Amino acid sequence: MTASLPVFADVFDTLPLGLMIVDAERQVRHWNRWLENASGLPREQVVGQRFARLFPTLATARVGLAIDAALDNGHAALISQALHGAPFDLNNGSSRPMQQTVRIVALDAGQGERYALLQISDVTEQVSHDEDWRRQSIELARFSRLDALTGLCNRKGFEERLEIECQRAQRSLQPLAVLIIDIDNFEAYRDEMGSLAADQCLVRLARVLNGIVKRPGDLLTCFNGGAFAAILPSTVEAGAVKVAERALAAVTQLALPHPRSAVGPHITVSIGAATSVDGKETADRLRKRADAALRRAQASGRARHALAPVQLSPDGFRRAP
Amino acid sequence: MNDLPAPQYDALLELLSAGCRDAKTALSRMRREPIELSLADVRLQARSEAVNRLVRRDAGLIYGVAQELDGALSGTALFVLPQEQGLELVQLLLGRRLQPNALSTLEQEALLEIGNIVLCALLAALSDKLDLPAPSALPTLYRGNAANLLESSAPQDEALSLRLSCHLKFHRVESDVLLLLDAPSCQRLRLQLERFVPPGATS
Repeated sequence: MTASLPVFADVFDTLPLGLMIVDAERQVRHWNRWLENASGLPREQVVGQRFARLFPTLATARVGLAIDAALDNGHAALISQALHGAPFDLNNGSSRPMQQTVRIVALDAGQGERYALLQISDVTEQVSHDEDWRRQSIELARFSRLDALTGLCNRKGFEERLEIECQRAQRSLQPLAVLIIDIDNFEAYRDEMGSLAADQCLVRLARVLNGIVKRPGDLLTCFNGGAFAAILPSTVEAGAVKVAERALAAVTQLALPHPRSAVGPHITVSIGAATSVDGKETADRLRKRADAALRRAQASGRARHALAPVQLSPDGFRRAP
Repeated sequence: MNDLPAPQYDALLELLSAGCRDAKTALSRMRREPIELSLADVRLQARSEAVNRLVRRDAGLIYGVAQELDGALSGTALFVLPQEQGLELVQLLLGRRLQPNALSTLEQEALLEIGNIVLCALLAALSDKLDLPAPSALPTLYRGNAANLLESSAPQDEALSLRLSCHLKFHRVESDVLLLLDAPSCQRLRLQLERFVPPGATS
């Protein structure tokens, strides 16, 4: 008969978590030693008091409503740290407030008598651990060649691949095209809609553009700040223009609302394209020409593409200035 | 198919709508901004049918928040989201970007709490008005294939299922709620719905 053991009452005081019992009158009936230590409130000051008097702000918030649900309907509740942080004013000796997970269960004592048991766990260390983990993941992503959000290659991956493709084009005297695709007024979009919506917008655009830059050997990459770049080997001007036009049309068709666009009610992109006709172009120059073309597209009203001018080179090949 | 006669179905819809409003109020207060929660497609059907619809729609990979029920409605209450939507909902409510494809323990608890709030609001609406007390246990998280929800179910088991749309800041997250009930509980639910006279209705 566990209930009749003389040590039973002491069990609550040995547990490494807070235990509070509230009765149907919303009076606190038990307050264990862990809670005494963490709150600085001795049992005598708490037991017998109404919960609402001790914790006026909590009584009308999620904790109080969950206690009501336990006492009135017998429902258990979980109150998460991620959504509530530190509901009770508790301290574990560290400089920040003790972060808590609170579990509330109904205990039936028979004859319709019911109590709510609150279990309060200290998850401060776990929160720090999660924060470290998040920081490390961001750090790792910086060294990676993949953009964590879209799964596309990132800028680092773009630079490396462009270098390789330029060398390959030079060896084989093959053309090569680069497209830089910039979302119009993306910073304003992020400010207006929030960073989560901005992330989702990037993911959707990545999906659509991936369906256009799809020949074997083509590469679509994602830069920070709402820009994409495509490397298109063996592609002449006409091909680059065709891809740019398809990308413009596909983004228009998505019709994602953009409340602060200077162009119209929806998300649009501007595209700068540059080609190396004979492969005799360095990666750096090719990228700069695509950038310049992009600025031209933006200056002439956005939501359009512009092609970097091509000239004949002194040795007879057509080359860009 | 839904096999409830029209008056009972209307009563059920009315009660669940009230529960849905309570859940919406609770979530909006927590987030300190309006969250829209709307109810659709309420059915009382064979459990296998309810689960198979989930399997067909979401390729079966789900996050589920489960609470065991006791009392007059005995069984399991489930709040179900396709895995991607589960991540999205937690992201939206926490207001920060999460690692792709992974929820930390504390983030999982946020999902558990959201499911807990929705399930308890719906259950309270049913049990209060129909006098069907159904105390629940703490929520647990299920991650896996929806098809496994059919394990250990008897052929006559039924499920009350409904679809919930959550709108928040230009986003929409679709979820399902399933009350997997044993046969006697379903019997009691039908009986009480038959007796239920909505407030304001004249007999």
